[in-house]
Amino acid sequence: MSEPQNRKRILEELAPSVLLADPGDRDSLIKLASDLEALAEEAASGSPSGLPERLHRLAEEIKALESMPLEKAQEKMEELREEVSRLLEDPFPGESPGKGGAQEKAPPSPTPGNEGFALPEFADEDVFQEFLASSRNALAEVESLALSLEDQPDKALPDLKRKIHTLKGEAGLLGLADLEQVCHTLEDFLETHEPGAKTVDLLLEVKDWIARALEAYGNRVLPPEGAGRILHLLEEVNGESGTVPSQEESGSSSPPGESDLETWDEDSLSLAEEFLEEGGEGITKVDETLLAAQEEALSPEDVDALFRVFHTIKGLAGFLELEDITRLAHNTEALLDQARKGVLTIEGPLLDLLFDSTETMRRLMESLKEAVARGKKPAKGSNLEEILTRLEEAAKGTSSKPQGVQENPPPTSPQSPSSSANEVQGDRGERKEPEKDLAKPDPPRKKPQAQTRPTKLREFVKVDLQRVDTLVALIGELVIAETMVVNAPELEKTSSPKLRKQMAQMSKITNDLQDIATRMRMVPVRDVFQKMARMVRDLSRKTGKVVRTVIEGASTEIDRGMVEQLGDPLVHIIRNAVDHGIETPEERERAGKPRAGTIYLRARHQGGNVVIEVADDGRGLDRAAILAKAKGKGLVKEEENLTDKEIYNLVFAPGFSTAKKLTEISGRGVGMDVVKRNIESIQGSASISSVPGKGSTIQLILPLTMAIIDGMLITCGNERYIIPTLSVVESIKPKENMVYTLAGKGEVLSVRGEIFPLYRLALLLGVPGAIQDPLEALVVIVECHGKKIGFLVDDVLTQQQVVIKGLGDGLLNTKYLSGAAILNDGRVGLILNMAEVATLGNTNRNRPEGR
Amino acid sequence: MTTVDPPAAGKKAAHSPSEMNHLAGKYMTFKLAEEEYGLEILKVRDVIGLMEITKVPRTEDYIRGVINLRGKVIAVVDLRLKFGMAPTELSDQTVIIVVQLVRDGKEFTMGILVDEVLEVLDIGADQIEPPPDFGNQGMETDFILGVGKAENRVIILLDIGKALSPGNAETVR
Repeated sequence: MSEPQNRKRILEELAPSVLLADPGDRDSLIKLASDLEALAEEAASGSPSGLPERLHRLAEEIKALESMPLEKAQEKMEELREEVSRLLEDPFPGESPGKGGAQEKAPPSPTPGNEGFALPEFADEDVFQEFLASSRNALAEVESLALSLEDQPDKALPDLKRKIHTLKGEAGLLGLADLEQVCHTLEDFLETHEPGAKTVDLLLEVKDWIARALEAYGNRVLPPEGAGRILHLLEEVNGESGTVPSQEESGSSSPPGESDLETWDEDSLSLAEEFLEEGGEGITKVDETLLAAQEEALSPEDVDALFRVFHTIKGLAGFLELEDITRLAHNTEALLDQARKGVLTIEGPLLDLLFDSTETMRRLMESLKEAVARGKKPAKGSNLEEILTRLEEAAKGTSSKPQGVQENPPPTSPQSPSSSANEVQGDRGERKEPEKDLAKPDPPRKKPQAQTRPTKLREFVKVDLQRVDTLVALIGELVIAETMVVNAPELEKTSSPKLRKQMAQMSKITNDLQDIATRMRMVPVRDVFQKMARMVRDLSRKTGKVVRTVIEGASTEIDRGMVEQLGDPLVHIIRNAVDHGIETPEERERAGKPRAGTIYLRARHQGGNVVIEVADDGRGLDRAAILAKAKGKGLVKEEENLTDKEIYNLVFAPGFSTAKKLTEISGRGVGMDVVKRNIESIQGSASISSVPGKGSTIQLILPLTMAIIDGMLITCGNERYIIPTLSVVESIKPKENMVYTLAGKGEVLSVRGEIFPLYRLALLLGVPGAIQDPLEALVVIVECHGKKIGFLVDDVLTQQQVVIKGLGDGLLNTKYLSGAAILNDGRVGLILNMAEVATLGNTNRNRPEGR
Repeated sequence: MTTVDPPAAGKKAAHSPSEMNHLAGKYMTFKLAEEEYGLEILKVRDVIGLMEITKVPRTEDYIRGVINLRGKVIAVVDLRLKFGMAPTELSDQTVIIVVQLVRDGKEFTMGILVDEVLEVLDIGADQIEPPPDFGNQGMETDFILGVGKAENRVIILLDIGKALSPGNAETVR
């Protein structure tokens, strides 16, 4: 078999490994990497486009995938897959080296002044033509993406990166080295720079150069301007903002640097970045676990998890030759190993030590991050000796357990670690110090090794998500069908006790099924909160403020469908909090607050709902400014008297924003009203409270699942409707002097001194046959946007949980409906969105009955 | 299911059968008032007897309401009203045909109220004539695929997707 055929065969064998490779499956990655290596060996060295080198690099990147966070790994996998499939399509860098050789493709006669250009011998003419055509489109898209980069960086940037990456690959395949290099440098640039005006300018300039180059290539001449200038431009900017691109390929001079620090090579640099990300997450997790350990002793699983974090960090850091981090990780890991084996228990001073270690690790990572941002390796020799020694001694079996349980030799570690721990604690903000007191007998923390702990060990199985969803949906339908059967009038008449018993049994089982089904879809909010915590860190850096995050209740579970819906609103709320709520460190000092502001992310279950709070200890809402703004926008009339609560909740009103300037961070007037709408779309409600000077709290109340809500079934004329209980404040039977008509305003209700508008549901919905006399009807009082509104209905039948169904296709004008539900008798009950229903009042409050 | 006899020899179709080829196929036929209509069988998901329809306030009058179809809520259109005829009078012949089609890349399910459901007919290309041209009266007839002729019956073949689009409430007669 000839060389090319051999290689083709290998490539074909490679193809399945590429398809099967899954970042979540280590073995598949290993296989793919080794296949790539094998192929690299096969490809004769010296092939022009550096095929073996490329394959080697691919193999390395694939191996590195293992240590990346899953999402990122999957993205990277996609890119790699594309690259490999491109290689597969056109695998044949020919044996003969040399670009522009005169063998098969005769170069056109060069026009005077322009050197001729010919495709490298291995490059296929047809592929080239196709590339020219497709790249024209690609460049046009690059341009429009670049232009939208400022406004919508989140959307545009990934697309942009992908396009450039594809261009690079294609250029590589065709042996267009200059182009490939430019794209590569551009990729690095995009990777490390925030999109901004300068970025866009540069992008456009590069794009122009590429366009011109391509045109020239198409005409078989070299581009009038070599890649030198463009590359220099890119690298200059890279150097300015601190990133040094790979030195190997660029021909330009290296930017003046912090010459005493070593530079990363390109691959290690990206690995370092990934290490930072994953290590950062690991450390955050460690923090959380350690924080929890203050209340309740760590389980073996927790200790194991801690160990693994440091173990992983040690491995990665070692690979990257980050000496300080490696040593710290190693010593901490050793300590944790002892804890894992049960030789030590993580409590008291040991716990403090771990906190210190984590803090130090975090600091090391920060300085690594800064260095990486400049493309440099971190400076060595931070003051680690002390903590390293402490860790070492602690691990050696000199335990520091409190006197409570004496399985180990008495503590020998002096008090000083604790006191320095307390110092470190000081700037943690929320750790509780007194509990570190060794003398305190601490029953909840005593977990003698002899006693077998109740195993929290949970097993997990991987199940196709679609199956789970189908199962949950079917269970939902079963519940409905069961309800219909059980409530069927024919069965009511049967008095057979045996039948009743069996039906009761069936109902019970169905209820249990429903519970489990609901629970299957629940995930802890931890991930969302962690992401937010990271965002806070980034934001605090960007704004020059010091902000910490405190997470409470991360294990609170919410429906997985809600997690996605929750993301954007939370991001926005937090951005607002950091941007407008938390003051600068100087301001805070002047106000007598700690320099570091804190964002609290809390989640808990409360009364059948999930309550999520985002609180800050910043400057609070400016009541006067809000009121003024609202009046200015006509949202509030001059003479209206609003409570504080109502005023604060005005920020949710559409079109509202009191930011004196819309900063890049909190966006261009996206507004809290969108947040509120998003929350309401998942059947939740949002409210805000604030204490001037102390801070603000935004509270989101979400149902346990999106699919089921608690509703009040009311009658109105011949129809029945469902009002979500979440919106209902109370329902009352109006008495003689409660209902008035105010001239020019319509009917109002007066309850315990409060006055609010009274709307007749029948009128709003156009339902005939409703009870006209308020005294014979009922009023349901609902709260919308902080205001109370009363709705006149005929009667309230029951309060029950209903499964929300979509309203069905093809219906228009149904904004006032949140959805539909199947009632017990199988009929459809429409679920009202009370806030929207209220607005119907503005158009036809006083119209007579009927539509 | 009945197959239809080819037209008598000698009778020329107004247009060549090949133009109507794509319309040949099975149609579910039903009655609205005195007229017969057909819609492509592949778009019919269900035929169900009349059940309680929950009214939805503030919608167009041809939307009769919504029903519970085995746990799924779907809207029901009074096709007669949509076509500008007098509203359907509910009887024990009244039936809801549940249609399902793809609109804008998404699945779209709706029920239509019909006076009587007839049969599934196999209609050949040579039995279908293009939609009548109402000339200057400028009426939209794009929801009519064609006119089928079978056993001396005239069956108006509907593009149900277009017929159910909002704003197509033209008179068919």
